Amino acid sequence: MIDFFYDLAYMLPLNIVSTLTLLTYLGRQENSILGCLVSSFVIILALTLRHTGKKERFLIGGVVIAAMLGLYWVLGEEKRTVLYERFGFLLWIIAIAFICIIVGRLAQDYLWLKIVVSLLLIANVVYLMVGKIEVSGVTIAASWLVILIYLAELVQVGWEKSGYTDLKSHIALITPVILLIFILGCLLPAPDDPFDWRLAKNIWKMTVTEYKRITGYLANRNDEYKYTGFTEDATVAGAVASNGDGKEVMLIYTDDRSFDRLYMGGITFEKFVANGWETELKGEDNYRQFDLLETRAAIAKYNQGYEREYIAEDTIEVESRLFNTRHVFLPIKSNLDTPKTVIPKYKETEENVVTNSRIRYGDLYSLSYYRLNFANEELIALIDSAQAIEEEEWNSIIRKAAVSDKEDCSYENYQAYRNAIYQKYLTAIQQKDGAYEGISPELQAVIDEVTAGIEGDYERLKALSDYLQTMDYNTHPGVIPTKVTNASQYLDYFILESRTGYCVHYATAMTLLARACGYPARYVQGYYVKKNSKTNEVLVTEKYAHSWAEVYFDNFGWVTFEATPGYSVSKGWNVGSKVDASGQMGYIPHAAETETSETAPLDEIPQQEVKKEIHISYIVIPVFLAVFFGAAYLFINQLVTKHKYRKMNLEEKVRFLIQRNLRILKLLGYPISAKETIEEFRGRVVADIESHSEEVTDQRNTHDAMLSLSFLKLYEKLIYSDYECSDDDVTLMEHDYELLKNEIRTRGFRYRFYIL
Amino acid sequence: MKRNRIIWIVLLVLSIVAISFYGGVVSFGFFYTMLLVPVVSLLYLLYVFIFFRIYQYNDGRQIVVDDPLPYSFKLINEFHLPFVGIRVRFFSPFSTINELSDKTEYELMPHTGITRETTIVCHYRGEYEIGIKEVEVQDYFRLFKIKYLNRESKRVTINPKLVLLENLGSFEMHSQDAMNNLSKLDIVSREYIPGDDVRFINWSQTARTGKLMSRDRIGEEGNGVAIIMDSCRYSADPYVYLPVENKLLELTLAISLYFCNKSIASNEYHFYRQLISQLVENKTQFEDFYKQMSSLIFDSANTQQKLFENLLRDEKIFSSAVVYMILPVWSEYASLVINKLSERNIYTVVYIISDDTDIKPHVPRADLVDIIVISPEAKLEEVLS
Repeated sequence: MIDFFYDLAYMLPLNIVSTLTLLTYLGRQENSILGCLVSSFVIILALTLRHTGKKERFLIGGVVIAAMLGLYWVLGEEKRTVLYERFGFLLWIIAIAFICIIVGRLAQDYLWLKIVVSLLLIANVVYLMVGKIEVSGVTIAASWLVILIYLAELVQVGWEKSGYTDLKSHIALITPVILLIFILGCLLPAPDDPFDWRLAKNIWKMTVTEYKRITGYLANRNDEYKYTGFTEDATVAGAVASNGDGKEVMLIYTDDRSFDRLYMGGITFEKFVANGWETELKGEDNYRQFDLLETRAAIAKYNQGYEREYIAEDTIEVESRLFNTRHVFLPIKSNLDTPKTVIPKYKETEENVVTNSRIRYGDLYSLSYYRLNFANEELIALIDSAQAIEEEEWNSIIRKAAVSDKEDCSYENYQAYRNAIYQKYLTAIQQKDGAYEGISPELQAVIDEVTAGIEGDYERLKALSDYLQTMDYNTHPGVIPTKVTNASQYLDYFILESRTGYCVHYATAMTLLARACGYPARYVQGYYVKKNSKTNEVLVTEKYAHSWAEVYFDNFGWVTFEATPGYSVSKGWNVGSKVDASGQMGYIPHAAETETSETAPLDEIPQQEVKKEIHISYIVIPVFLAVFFGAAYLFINQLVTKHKYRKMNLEEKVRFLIQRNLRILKLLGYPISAKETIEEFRGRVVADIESHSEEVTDQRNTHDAMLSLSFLKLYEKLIYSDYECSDDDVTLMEHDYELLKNEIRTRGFRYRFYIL
Repeated sequence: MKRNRIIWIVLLVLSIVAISFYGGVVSFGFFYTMLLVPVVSLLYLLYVFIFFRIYQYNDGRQIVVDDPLPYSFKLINEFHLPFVGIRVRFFSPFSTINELSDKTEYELMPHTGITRETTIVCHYRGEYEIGIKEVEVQDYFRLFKIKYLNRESKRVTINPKLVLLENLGSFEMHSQDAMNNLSKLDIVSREYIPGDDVRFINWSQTARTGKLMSRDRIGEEGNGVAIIMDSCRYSADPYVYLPVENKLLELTLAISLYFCNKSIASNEYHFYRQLISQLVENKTQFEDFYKQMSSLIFDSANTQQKLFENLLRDEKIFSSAVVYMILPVWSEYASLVINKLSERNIYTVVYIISDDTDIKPHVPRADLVDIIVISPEAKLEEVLS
């Protein structure tokens, strides 16, 4: 049996792989079960014939052939042809099975063949994977089963051990364990898509976030803004302190069709001193809300119902990184009075928003804000010509915007807000005593030249910012000379003399120029975020730190102006663009969606119902023939045996009968062992039979007779001496034979006996 | 094993790469196979752990140090699968199993067993475990192995060895003096019977009586030979205390047996909660003495201070002809007692059981004191001859 299972372990899995692979290549995957059954039957039959005696081999082989011949005969030519057309591939399967038998048998002896087969299997697997060819899981699992069995044998061969180390037994008995891998492998699901590592990524991300949160806190406990680029200090320095990309500051999540440029303001300055800016903004007014409401009111007044052509709402989510700050970075026109904006507890200090406790690594806040569509010329016209907003219009926009605190945003407060802007953001050029300081004639000439022929307020300031952008960008322009003591001198120095600097210089210049032209303007520090259309998140680092100018247009609100070379404000979107499903405007026009008509499904070809006819004779006749053959064989065998027996001399008869009796003893569970003498064997059998005889008292006579097992004594004499047999010995053998047969019946081993 | 693990890890990584880029049964089948191989191997090892049995046998007689004892063990597989790689390791510091290497790996077919018969030699007296200490099991791919302690270990009590000394070097050197000392303490003599040891002929009595007289008992009122053994345990580590205690007992028994064979009475002293002395004059008493020594308990509370203070208080040792001290360490208390013995001209031999050969304590009367350092692993027959 060990040899049988050993061969089976080598041949059957290989056979299954080959069969299923062949069926895949033939495009007959639907016949996989049938193919496997047929090929497995061939393998098992071949192994059974190999591992049985001559008689059994002839019997089994004969039965199978008789059955097949019977089937062949009963089917008839027509049906045989149909069967061949339908199941002709089975001949290939049978051929494959025989090849697997040969290969499996040779692989047992030759290591190189094991390696070749393994490599072929691996190559097949790789080809199926890369070629994305559909194949059943059983094929792959069986391929690995073959390789694992080879590996198990290789490991065993090289392993020096004591005890029972027969290789075939080892493989035959260890294969069920390896089979477990095969079974589990077949049962586990195999998705069509590559593994989604999102969960692992999320876990990893969470781990990294927590680690960075802790280390960031520990590193930045005392130094909030180190290497972030942002600072509360707005000194116009001689050089930019940079650390390459520097720290990660924040991660902004948004829709991929939202902004392409975003100015995230952190701190606003209103007072220019000789070498930079200062701020005294400490009040708690909600100026941002007034700015947004004013702009929306202006748009509503200008062109009712088409707000989205001028201004569009976006939402972003901001995840803080290596920051240890209380400043909240917000775009211009942020809407803080909406459920979409979620910020940790904060307060507004006029223009700035600060949280009550520090924002740490990984902290999230979401923002709703509005961006202006500068691609719409009507917006520019509106900015230039915005008219005073009436109280009724103001109240209307408050209702539309669903402002939560209507009293706080009253029309009176709005007017106070407007007055405050002019007081705070238009004083830099003017001296303290209210006298207009003015700018130099040379600078005025430049302004006049740049803005010549331009009428609108916005276009004039845009022209000035464009003019500044023609100058040189330099991160190390040198310190501002000490002769510069006020805004006018700064402008003269920067625009007429130096003409080089970085964002701080340009933003300062733009702010002061706007004020010189009579427009309230402010200097803002924060981050300039660029995003392309293909991504929906942006990692903001130190290098994104930036400053810019914002200018107030009466009855419209604040507008960002970019004067630094290499930077630009978002252009907006084309008028007429549709809002997408997320409610966002985007900044590229929608491609017109063309409706494709669904093609009507092909009419189903009506299939003729194939009537399956399986006549009872297809089963009965082959079975009858098989049984007939078997019975005939046994009968003939008996006749032949009897004939031979009659021809035997006495000693041959006695030996024949002894062997027969020994076979029955083996059937009864008493095979003679090569390590024991006949006397020891007899003693063992007798002892066991005695224990049985106690249970079955009515068989006492038989058991008593069997206790003698006298034929074994005769057997011993035959082997060890020149004993001459007599007729009495033959009689004794036959008598013992009858006793043994009775014992078989007693123990219920009838069928085994008949097979014997 | 390392090579197989490396191969497996490489294949596992490749399978992870495969499923990261390709879906379907091929890549996932590869991944599952690589993942399930160690899982099934570990399950298999768990089954081996549950169904593997060890039976150990020895013939049940008393175990004596250095005496080969028949020993056998049986490894049984009670499971339906073969056990492909079983290795048993033996307790080796204090015992040796002959003709069997613990590097041998066994394979057991289902419901079969392997029996190995050999002998085991225990090196030290005491109570400790012998035989199979732990089991190491490997899986069929040699990817993993688990080690676990033998749940059915064998704990035995080993009796000390009896060393028959042909001569006791120190005694032979001073035997005449010792014998003279001993004879002074004799009281009882009898007529010489052919066969008596001629050394025990009492010449003074013979001259007096005119008949050949032999001493009947030696040191009846005196103590003959005194053997003082320190029964203090100086270490908690069995690797340290077992060899030392073994040698202490062996030497004590050897000396006592030597004198018993010479019909010279010996009195053994040691301390266990109190001073305990045992007189050995004949073989029967020696057997009792041996049993007592075999079951002697060494304890850190049995200090030399207590031993020698009690001895000095008892004063019986000052009646001895020769005093043998068997100590693991030298102390001032031993020095004190030796000085007192020397004052009484009593010859003293001190055996220090130690690996430190540099021990050379100062004694006032070097002619009356012999100090011999004996290694715990030394053979007494070679050292004391």
